Amino acid sequence: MLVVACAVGVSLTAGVYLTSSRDLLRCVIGISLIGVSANLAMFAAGRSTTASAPPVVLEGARQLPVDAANPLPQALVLTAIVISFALTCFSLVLALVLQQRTGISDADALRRSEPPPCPDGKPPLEGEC
Amino acid sequence: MSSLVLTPVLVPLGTALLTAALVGQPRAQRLTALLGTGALLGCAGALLREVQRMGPVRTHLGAWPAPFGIELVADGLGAAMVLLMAIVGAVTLLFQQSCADPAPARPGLLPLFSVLLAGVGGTFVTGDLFNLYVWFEVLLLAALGLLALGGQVRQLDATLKYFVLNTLGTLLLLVGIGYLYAATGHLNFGALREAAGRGEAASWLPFLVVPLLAFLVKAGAFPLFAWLPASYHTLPGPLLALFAGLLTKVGVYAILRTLSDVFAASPRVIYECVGWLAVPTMIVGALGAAYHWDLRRILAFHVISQIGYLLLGVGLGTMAGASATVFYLGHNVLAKTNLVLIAAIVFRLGGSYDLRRCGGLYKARPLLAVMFLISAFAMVGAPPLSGFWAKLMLIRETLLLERGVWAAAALTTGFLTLYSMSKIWLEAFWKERPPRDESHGSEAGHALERPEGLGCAYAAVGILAGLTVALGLFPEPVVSFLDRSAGQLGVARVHPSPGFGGAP
Amino acid sequence: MGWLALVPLTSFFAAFALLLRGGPPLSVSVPWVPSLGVDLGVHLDGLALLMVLLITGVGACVFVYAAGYMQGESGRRRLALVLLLFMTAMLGCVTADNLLVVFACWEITSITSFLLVGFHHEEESSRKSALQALLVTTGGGLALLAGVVLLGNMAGTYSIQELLRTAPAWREQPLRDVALLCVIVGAFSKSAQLPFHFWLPNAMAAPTPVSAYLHSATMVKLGVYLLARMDAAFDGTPFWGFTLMSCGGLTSAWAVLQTLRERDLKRILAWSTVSALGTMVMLIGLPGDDSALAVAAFVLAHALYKAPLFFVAGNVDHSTGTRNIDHLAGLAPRMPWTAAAALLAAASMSGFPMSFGYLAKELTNVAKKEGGLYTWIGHSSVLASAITVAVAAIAAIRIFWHRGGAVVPGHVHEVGWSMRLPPLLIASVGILFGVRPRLADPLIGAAAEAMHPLYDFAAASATARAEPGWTALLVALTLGVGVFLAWDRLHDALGKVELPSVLRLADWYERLLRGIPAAARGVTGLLQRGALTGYVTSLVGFVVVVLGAVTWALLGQRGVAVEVSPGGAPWGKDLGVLGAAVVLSVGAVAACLVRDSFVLLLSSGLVGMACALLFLFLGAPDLAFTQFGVEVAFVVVVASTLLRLRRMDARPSAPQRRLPRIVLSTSLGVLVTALLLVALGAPTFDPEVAAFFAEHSVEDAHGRNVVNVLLVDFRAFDTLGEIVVVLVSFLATLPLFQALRVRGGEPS
Repeated sequence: MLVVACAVGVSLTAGVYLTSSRDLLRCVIGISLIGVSANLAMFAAGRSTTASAPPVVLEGARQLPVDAANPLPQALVLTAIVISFALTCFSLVLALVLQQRTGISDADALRRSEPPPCPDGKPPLEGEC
Repeated sequence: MSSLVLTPVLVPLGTALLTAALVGQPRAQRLTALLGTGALLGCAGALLREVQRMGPVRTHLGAWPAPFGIELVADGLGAAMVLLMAIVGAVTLLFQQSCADPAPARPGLLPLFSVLLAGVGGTFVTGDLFNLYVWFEVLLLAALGLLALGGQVRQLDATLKYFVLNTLGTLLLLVGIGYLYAATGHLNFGALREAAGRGEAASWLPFLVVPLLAFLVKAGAFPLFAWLPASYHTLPGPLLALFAGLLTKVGVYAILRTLSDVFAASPRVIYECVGWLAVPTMIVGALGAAYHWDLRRILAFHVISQIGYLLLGVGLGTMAGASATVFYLGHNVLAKTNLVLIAAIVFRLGGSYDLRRCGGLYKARPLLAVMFLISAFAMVGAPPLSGFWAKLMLIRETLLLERGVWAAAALTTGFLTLYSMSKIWLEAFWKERPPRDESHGSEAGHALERPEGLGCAYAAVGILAGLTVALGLFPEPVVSFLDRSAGQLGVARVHPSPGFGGAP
Repeated sequence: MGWLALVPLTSFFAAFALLLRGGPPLSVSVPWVPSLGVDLGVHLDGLALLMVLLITGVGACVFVYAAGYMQGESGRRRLALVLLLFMTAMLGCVTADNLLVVFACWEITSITSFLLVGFHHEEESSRKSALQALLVTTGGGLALLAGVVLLGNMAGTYSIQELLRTAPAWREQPLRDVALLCVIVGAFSKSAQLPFHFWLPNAMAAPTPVSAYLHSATMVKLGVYLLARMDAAFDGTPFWGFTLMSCGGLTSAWAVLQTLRERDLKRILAWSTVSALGTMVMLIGLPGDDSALAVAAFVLAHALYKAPLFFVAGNVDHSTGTRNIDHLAGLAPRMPWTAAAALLAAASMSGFPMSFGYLAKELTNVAKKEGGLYTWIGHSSVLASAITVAVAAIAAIRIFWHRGGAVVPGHVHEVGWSMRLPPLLIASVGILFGVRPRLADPLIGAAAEAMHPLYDFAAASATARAEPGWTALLVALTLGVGVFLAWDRLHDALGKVELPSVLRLADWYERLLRGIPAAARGVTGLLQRGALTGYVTSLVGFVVVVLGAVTWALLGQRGVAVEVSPGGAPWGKDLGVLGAAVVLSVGAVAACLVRDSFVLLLSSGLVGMACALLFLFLGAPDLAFTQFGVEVAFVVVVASTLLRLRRMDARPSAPQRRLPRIVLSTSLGVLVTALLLVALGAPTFDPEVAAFFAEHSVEDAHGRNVVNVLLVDFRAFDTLGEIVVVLVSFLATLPLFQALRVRGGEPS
C-alpha cells in the first residue's frame, strides 16, 4: 500500500515538475506523467494493493476467489489509461506543430494568443504593438 | 418514458456519427447537424415535461440496479440544464449558417460540435461519479478539437494552454474520484448521498475538496481561471458563443450537483470557502473585462465574473440559494450566448472585434442595437429582463443570510458589468465610426453598406433575445419549477431556507 | 410626433377624474411572480395621483413641444419612442404598490434617461454625460435594490402599503438603518442630492424637451417621491430625519451657490433644480405633519415653474443658437410669447404673491416652524431662496428685458406655436393656482394625506394663509434683487475661487472612472500574464494550499486511520512491487534531469512501463497489458514524429529557476500521497459494490474475466464514452497531423 502510494507521489512530483517547465515537450510529457500517477491512485483506491490474484472467475467456480483483486477500479483505470493516451497523442502533435510553425519551444515566449500589452499598458490592437 | 434520459447523450452522438460519415457532402452534413440539434431540442423539451409531470426520470443501464451499474438521472436541475444545452446548441448552429464570423467549414467541425454536446449532455444526466469524469474528458477533447480547428498559430497556442490547465483539472478529478471511492466504495450519486448522510462521514468528507477543486478549474473560478481568457477569444463567433454559454457552466453544474445535492451534508466551511472564492472571481472577472477592448476578450472575462455569481449562490448552501443559482445560470446562458453572437455580427459589420475600430452601429443597425441593449441590460440585471430576477433571487437570499460583504460584492460586480456593457455601447454603437484603416482593412469592412447572409444570424440573436425578454416578463413558471426542483436536491433536507419574511 | 401627446393626455384626464371622485385610494393587484412575492398592483392615492398628473400633464406638453423643437432632426422618432417608454415607466413607478415593481420601473427610467441624454451621441461630451447619468443613477439603484430587499426581508412583504401598515412591528430590527441608508442612497442618486448631485447639470447635454421633462419635472423627483412614500414609516427615527434634513439642506445651499458659477442658462436652471430637490428632501426629513403638505405643494409648484423655464431656455436656444447668458439680452420684443411665459414662471419661482410658488413657500415656512428646525438650515434656506429669486430674474428679466453690453443676434424670431404654447400653458396653471389656491387644495391635500394618513389636510391653503410670512418673503426678494444686480460680479468672484479637488465630487467620479481601468490593468496584468508556466504555477500552488489546509484539518481530527502497513503481507513477498516502484522512481527522476529530448521520452516511457509492471504484480494483468501497449505505441508515435522533424536534439530548456518548481511539485506529491493513505485507511469503505460484481459476473453477465465484464456490460456506458474520446482525439488530431506532414515534407 505504502509502496504504491509512494509511486503515486513520485510520479506526480516528476510530472508537476516537468509540467511547470518552459519547454513545450517537457510540459506535455509532464502531463502524461501526472496521468500515470492519477491512474495509479485510482487503482490504489480499490484497496487490493497486495492481493495478487487477477479478478478472473476460475473455471467451474461461480464467484471470484477470495484473494482476487477488486475488479471495479481496474475497469475504471483501463478506461482512464486509454483516455490519457488519446490526450497525450493530441498534445504531442499539438506541441510539435506549434514548435514547427513558430520555431519557439519556450512556452512563456509563445505569446500568440495573448500578445503582450502595448508600451502604454493598453491591451494590444490586433496586428499592432 | 425513462429512455428519454438517454437522449441527451445518444442523439448528439448519433448526429456526430452521421455527420462524420457525410464528410464528403457538406450540404447533407449541415442538414444532418441541424436536424440532429432540432431532435435534441425536442427530446430535451419532452424530458423536461416528463420531469415536470412525474418527478425525476431515471434509467439503469443494462438493467443493473442502482449502486452497481451506471444510473442516468434527470431531475429538475438536470432536465433544465439539458434544455439549456439544446437551446444553445441549436442557436449557435443556426448562427453558424450565417456569414458572421462562422467557424471554418472543416470536415471535423460538425462531428466535433455534436460530440461536445454529447459530452455536456452526459455530464448533465449521469448519476455516477466516474461516468461524469468520462464525459468531462469527452467534452475536453471535443473542445480541444474545436479550438485547434482553425489552425492559426494563435489558436494553437490557445489550445495548448487550454489543454495543459484543463487536463490538470481532469486529472485532479480522477484522483479525487479515487479518494472518494477509496473512502466509501461507491461511485453512484445516490449511494454517495446516503454515505455522506451517515455519522462517520465526517472523516472522509474533506476529500470532497479534491474533485471540487477540479470542478472549480472547469468552472473558471479564481484563481484557477487562467485557461479561459487565454483561449476563448481565439474562437470564431458561434463557437465562442457555445463555449462561453455552456462549457464553464458544466463545471458550475458539477459543483452544484456535488455541494447542493450529493454532498449537501458537507462541513459548512466548504460552502464558506466557495462563497469567499466567489467574491474575487466576480470582481477580478469584471475588472479583466474593464481592461480589455476586444469584444471577445471582454465577454470572456465576463464569463468568469458571472461564474462568481453562480458560485456565490452555491456558497450560500441553502435550497433557495440553489434555485437562485440555477435561475441565474439559465439567464446567464441565454444572455451571454447572445452577447457573443451579437459581437460576431458587430465584427461582420465593422470588420473588427476591437472596440477602438468599431462605431456607428446605433444609427446604421437599430435592430442590432435593440438586441444588444436587451442582452446587455439583462446581463447587468436591469428589470424587467431575466437578469433582474436572477440577481434579485441571489441578493435576497444573500441578505437573508446576512452576508453583507457577499451582497456588496455582487452589487459592485453589477456596477462593473454595467461599466463594461456601457463601454461596448458607447464605442460600438454610439461613437461615430472611425475612418477605416486601410492597412488593417479586412474583407468584412464594407459590410455596413451591404449586409448579406445575416438572416440566420439575426434569427439566432432574435430567438435568444426573445427568450431573455420572455424569462423577464414571465418568470413565475420557471421560478416555481426551480423551487420545486431545488426541493428534490439534497440541500433541501439539510439546509432548507429560512422562509421569506420569517414565514415557513 | 405631436399627436403622441394624446397618449399622456388621456391618462391625465383619467387621473383627474379619479382625483375629483375622491374617496379611498384605488387599489388593484394581480399576481406576477408570486414565488418571489411580486404583485403587479397599483395603489392610486393622492401622492400617486399628484405625480401621475405631473407626469402626464407635463408629458403631453413635452410631446407637443418636442414636435416643434425636434422638427427635421433625424432620430426624433426614436426619441419619441424612448420618451414614451420613459413615461410608461414613470407612471409605473409612482402608481405601483410593490416595491420591486417600483424598483423595476425606477431602473427603466435610469436606462431610458441614459438613452435620452445621449441623444447627440456623436459628440463625445454627450456620451460622457449620458454615461455619468447612467452610472450614478444605476449605481444608486443597486443600493436601492439592496435596501428594498432588506426591507422586504424584514417586513415579509414588498407591498408598500403593507410595509407602512406593519412598520411598528418590524422597524426595530437591527438592520433597519442599513436598509434605510441603502434606500436613501438610491433616492439621493436619482434626485441629485449630495454627494451624487453632479450628474444633473451635466445631463443638460440632452435635448431641451428631455431636460424639461426628465430633469426638472418628473424623473429627478422620483427620489423625493420614494422618500415621501416611506416617510410615514420612518418619520421620527433619528437617523432618517437627520440624514434627510442635513443632506437636503446642504444640497440646497451648495447647489444654489453653484448657479452663480455658470453662464449656460440650462445649467443655471439645472443647479437651481438640484437646490429645489434639496429643499424637498429637507422638508421630508422634517418632523411634523405640515411638512407633508409643504412637500406636496413644492413638488407641484416646482414642476409648474421649472418645466416652462426649461422650455423657455429651449426656445431661446432654438432661435438664437446660444444659451450663454452673456450673449443674450433684450429678447422680449422679438420673442414676446416666450418672454411672457418666462415672466409668469419666474414670478412663481421667486414666490411672488398671487403665484403658486408663493403658497408653496408659505407652507414651507410653516413646516419649518413646526419642525423646530436647526438654525443653520434656516439661514441656508434664506440664502437659497434669495439666489432662487435671482435665478428667476436672470431667466426672465435679464434675457428678455435687460439691455446690457450683451449682443442681440439679429436673426432672432419667435418660435412656432407648438413651442410657444406649452410653457405658457404650464406657467399659467402655476399662476392660476396662486390666484385661486382652493383649486389646488384637493391635489396637495390628498397627496399630503397619502404621506401622513392620520392627518386631515382638508383645507390646505388655509394652513398657509393662517400665518403669512411676509418678513421672510421680503428678505428673500430684497436679497434676491441684490444678487441679481451683482450677478456678474459674484460670478467673477466665485470663478476665482478654485475648489480643492478633494471637495469636487465630479472629480471623484472622474477618479473612479479612471480608477476602474487602472485597477483592471493592474489586476489583469498580475493574474493573466500570458505565460503558461505562471498559469500552471498558480493553479498548482492554489491546489497545494487547499490540500495543505485539508491535510492540516484531517491531522487535527482524532482517530484518523492512516493506512501505512503493506496490507499485512511481509515486505519481501511483494519484492516485485517494490522493484517496479523503484524503476518508476528512477524513470521519474531521470525524466526531470535529462537534457536530451529523446532520453526524456525514454525515461517517461520507463515510468509507464514500471507502472504496467506494478499493475501486473498487483493482480491486474489486463491493465498491465494495456499500459504496455500504450507505452509502446506512445514511444513509437513520438519517435517517428520526432525523427520526421529531425529535431532530436532539443536545446537545453530556457534558464528557469528550479527551486520553486521543486518545492511546488514535491509538496503536491507529498500531500496527494498523504491524503491517499488517509483515504485508504478510512473505515467507511463499503465493499458491497465490488462484491456484487464478484458474485454476478458469471451468473448474470456470463463472463469470467470480471474486468472485461465490467467494461462491456456493468459499466458499458463508460466504455462508450471512452470510444468516443478515442474517435474524437483522432478527429481533433488529424488536421494537426496533416499540417505537420505538409510542413515536414517541405524542403527547408
